[in-house]
Amino acid sequence: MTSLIIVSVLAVAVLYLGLFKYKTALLPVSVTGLLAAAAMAAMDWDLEKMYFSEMMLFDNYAVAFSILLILTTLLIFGLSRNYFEKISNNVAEYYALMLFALAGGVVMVSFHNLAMLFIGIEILSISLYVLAGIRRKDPASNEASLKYFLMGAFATGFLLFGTALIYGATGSFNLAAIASSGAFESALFRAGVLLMMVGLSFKVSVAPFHTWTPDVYEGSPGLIAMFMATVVKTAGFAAFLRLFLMAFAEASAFWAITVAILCILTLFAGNITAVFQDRFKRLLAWSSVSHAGYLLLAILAVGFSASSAVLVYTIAYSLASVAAFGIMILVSRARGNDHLDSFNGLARTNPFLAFTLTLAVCSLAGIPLTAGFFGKFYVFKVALAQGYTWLVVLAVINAMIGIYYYFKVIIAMYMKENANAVAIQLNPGFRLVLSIVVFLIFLFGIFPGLIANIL
Amino acid sequence: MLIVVLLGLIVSLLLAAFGRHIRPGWWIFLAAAPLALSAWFVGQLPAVAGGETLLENTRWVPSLGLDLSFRLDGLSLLFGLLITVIGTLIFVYASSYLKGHPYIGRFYGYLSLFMASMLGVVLSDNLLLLFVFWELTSLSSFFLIGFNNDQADSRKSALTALCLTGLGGFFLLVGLVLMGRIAGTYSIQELIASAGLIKDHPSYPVIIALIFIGAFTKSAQFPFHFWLPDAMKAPTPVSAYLHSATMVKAGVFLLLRFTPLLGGTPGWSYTLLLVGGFTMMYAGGHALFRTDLKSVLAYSTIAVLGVLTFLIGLGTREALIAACTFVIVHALYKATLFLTTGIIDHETGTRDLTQLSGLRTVLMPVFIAGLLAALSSAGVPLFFGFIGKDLIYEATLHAGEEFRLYLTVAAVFANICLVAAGFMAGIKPFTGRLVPQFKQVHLPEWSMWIPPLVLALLCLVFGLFPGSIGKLIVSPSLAAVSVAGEPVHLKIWHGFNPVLLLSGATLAAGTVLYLLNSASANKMAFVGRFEVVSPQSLFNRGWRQLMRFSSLYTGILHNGFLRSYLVRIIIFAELLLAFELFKAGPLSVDFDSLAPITIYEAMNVLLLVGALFLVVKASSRLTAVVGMSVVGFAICLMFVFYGAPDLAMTQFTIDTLTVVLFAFVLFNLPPFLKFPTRNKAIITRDAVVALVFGGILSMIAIKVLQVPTSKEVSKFYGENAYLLAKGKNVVNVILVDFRGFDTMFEIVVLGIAALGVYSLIKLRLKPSERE
Repeated sequence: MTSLIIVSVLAVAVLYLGLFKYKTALLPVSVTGLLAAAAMAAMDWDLEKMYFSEMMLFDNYAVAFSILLILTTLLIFGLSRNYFEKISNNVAEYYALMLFALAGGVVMVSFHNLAMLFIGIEILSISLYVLAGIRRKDPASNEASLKYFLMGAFATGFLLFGTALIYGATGSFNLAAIASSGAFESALFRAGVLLMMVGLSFKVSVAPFHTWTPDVYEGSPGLIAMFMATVVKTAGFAAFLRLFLMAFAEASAFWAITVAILCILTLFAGNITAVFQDRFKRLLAWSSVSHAGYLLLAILAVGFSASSAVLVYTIAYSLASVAAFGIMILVSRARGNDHLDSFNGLARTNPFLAFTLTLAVCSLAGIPLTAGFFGKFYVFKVALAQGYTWLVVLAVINAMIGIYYYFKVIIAMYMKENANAVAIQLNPGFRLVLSIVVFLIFLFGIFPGLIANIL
Repeated sequence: MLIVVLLGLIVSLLLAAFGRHIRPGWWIFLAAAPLALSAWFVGQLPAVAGGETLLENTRWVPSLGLDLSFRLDGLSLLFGLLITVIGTLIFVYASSYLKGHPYIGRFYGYLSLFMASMLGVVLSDNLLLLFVFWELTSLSSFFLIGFNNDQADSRKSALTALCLTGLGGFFLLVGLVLMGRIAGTYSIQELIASAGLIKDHPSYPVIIALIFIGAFTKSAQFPFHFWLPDAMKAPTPVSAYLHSATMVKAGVFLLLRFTPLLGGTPGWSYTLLLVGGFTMMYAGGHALFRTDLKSVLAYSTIAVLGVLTFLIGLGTREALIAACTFVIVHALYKATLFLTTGIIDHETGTRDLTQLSGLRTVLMPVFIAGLLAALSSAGVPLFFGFIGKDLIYEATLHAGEEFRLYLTVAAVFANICLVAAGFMAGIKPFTGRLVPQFKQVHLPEWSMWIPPLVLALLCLVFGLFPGSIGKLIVSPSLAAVSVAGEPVHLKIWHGFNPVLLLSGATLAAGTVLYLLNSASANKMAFVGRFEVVSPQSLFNRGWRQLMRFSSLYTGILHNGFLRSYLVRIIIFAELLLAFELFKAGPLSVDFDSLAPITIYEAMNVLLLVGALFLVVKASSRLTAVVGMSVVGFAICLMFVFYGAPDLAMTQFTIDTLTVVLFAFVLFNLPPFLKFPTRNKAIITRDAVVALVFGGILSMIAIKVLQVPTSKEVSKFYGENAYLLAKGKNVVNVILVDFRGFDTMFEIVVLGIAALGVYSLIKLRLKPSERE
């Protein structure tokens, strides 16, 4: 709870810093604040405290995901020095909005009441609507923001209506009360669950509600897209799983088949389209859709290993995405665009960047000795434990398609040449963050026990 | 054993870090690493031959069942020796083959990585560990195939190979996890102890299917075989090492490893016999039509892998002896032939069989190596190949009564093709007249022609002293595949028997076939005509279709239009909800229990519907906004009718506020674009979608009516409003007393919103910011 307060206060403080033009203080203050928030979150470990008449519950699940969200934001801030300055003069807006979104994310992973879930999602989403459109004079950015807002508002409608129906069926917003209400047979409850599923599916870009993803990622500034792919997706899935685990687990027999269908649709929609992309940012956007499909596999397997699987997967995925988006930003800035051909010859000019990106896409593709392998392995394992062999086989075919398009960029870097390419200059922030990411991808790839046993 | 596996990884990492500081002449010294490892394996020979199994276990991720457990038994030793001995020679060979190549450091890095992972595969005693190394071999193979990266072909085949073996790898993973779940352990030796459990489990067919796909993709069995000929784009040392002697045998290794665990059932045997048998004949026949030396070798490698699969499918003691022996036989002669091919390619610049001839005069030692290897591959007596071939025939002749004939015929056919293919690769380029253009060809450095010669001599030495190989290597391997029985005695001479007769006939027929079958482009073209139905072109076509589908799919379903996205979301939500409503059973409304409809209510609904039409048909924004506000006010009226005046007031205020805000925004917007060309079909579709959605939501609303609502909350307020708060209007009491704080904060929020609106009104955009 203290961490949530720190993040919220930090966001307001950053706004004031911006108001009084302390631009140089923005980053240090944000970083210090986030470190403090992460530390305070860690202090809540094993306490299982309820807040505000059971509105929020800071159990280990909430703590682990809060820390993940905060640390990922920290990594993104590490890349942001001199980034936002190029876009606008009002840098404080970015930090403040991202921090507000983060606060929403923390609420989303620690809610114990449907009202808090809604509030968390809205805090997160509204900040993102603005962030997506923050390049005010760029039509693509405007389009992204508008699309995201209109569709997001629409999805919120589903979520709210579902919440209302569930309240009608069970007489409570409280997760524990819903779980023990025994109203699982009523059509009202079921329609409510489905409507909430639709609303949440939109937020985590599960097909067929994923259509905003590539357009919005493409229109938003690179770092914001990175934020959406990592923090927002993690928070969304953590909320999704928390809701279905704590409130609807008993009724899993009826919604599991729907989740399985969504899972297949998402995997194929994401991968089949990603194969076709020749721009790296769009490719990453589509691949983020397909990763939502793998994560749904874990949601199918409601149980304690499901939360562990989602945690491992999101950690691996966030790390790899930070590296992939980060290098995409560098390359598109230096070479003019993010077309796959722009990566040609990167292995010669920037061996470190090429190696980092290789590691990142290997992790996304699930190659062993990277963190991503254990994410996939864990997800497959819990799904198999529930008897979804057919679903895992379909997922595996998608993993093969994934290898195909992920390795296209490796081929570009290592096997194609670009005689005119010059080395890309890295600022210290990038170097530090990318080094940390490389270290962690290897660390968790070789010692997955470090993250697999947290929950 | 951990260090044995890690050594290659360490070398690879060191090369990644310091590779650029190594002088050109020093690369050959890297061969010390595989040499040391092979010395270690040789050192273990006596112990393992004595029946010992070395085990080593380090805990890694206990919670996932993943341990660094290694075991060295006969089978691992056999493969370990192949990997390190051939590895040593390849390391030496490559140092001059790639001399002066700008990325030679990367090459050795990938090669060391490969060696380490391959050793990991054969030494692991844990299913998941095995998988980890399995994938790493695919990955290093990808980089090595794509090493000649200036060719687009080369990059494409690298990706195809990776996708296929990667796909197989993931299937394998699913199979392994299923096995581990059934037995409750991932340790291979514990699994073998509980083999019956898995064989009797209902998902046994699924498990072996998954494992077969893994093994077949890796070991290039039909219909997955086509990545292997394509993989020959790799530098020749890589082809010799990965794509012939070691990596492609990983599938065979896996099948051998799992024979005691999964083997012996009809499903296992028949699948392997069919797939292996078909592959060996198909690929053997194909080899004869090729004109590219490496292509010949690639197809004959596939044929040999087919033979091995076939033998494992047979599963008898003789068959497994034959399989283990043939793995060594093939690795020795095929690596030699690849290396001689590499020298020819390196020195003459071509691998075209129709052009090469007479090279014996200029490349004498290479010719000797090629000749010895070809003779061994043909199974000429006194060569190791002879023993291998004998064992195969012995196995097929001892098979079950009803299949014996077919199996033997298939084996003879495949072997005849192999004899001819071996001669084509090992003898053809050297015989005949020396073409003038090759007069200048000269022998390369010693480090290139010594390795093939060593391997070729080994073919001869092993053939002369098969007894010790049988005792030291094949017997323990067999023990590892847990076929009980007395030690294996490999002999040169078995006496006159049907096996010898078959061997002789095969040799004769193969030689005749070789002499008759001159390589020509015409024949190549002839086979080319059947390419249309080959698995490769089917796969490529399938892939192209996928790409086309993908582009079509992206174009249609992802057109960037918000409206089409929204339509899809709604349709899907409709399907979900309609299905759920359908399941919930028929809907009945008891009209008698409802209050009668008054004229005011009917008018109000009419007003509402009329306003909705106005919104939909409006041709200006202002009209639409007005329409929306009428809808809002109509809803307020409903609240009034049903006794909630406070709520109506709130709603009324908010609606008015929204309209005002809208009006402000409208001032700053460009003129409204009307799309007159929208066609009727789309309008109808949208109307249907909207009506259905409204219908479904209404049905849910009617359902709500039927559910007995809990009235606790309203009862509480009703009872306590006067008692606790001394107020007679319950709603007022709730607003100002029970939920007083909420109301206060709502007022604050409204105030802030009003401030925002005020500043929006005050804000005058500069002309430059207007768009």
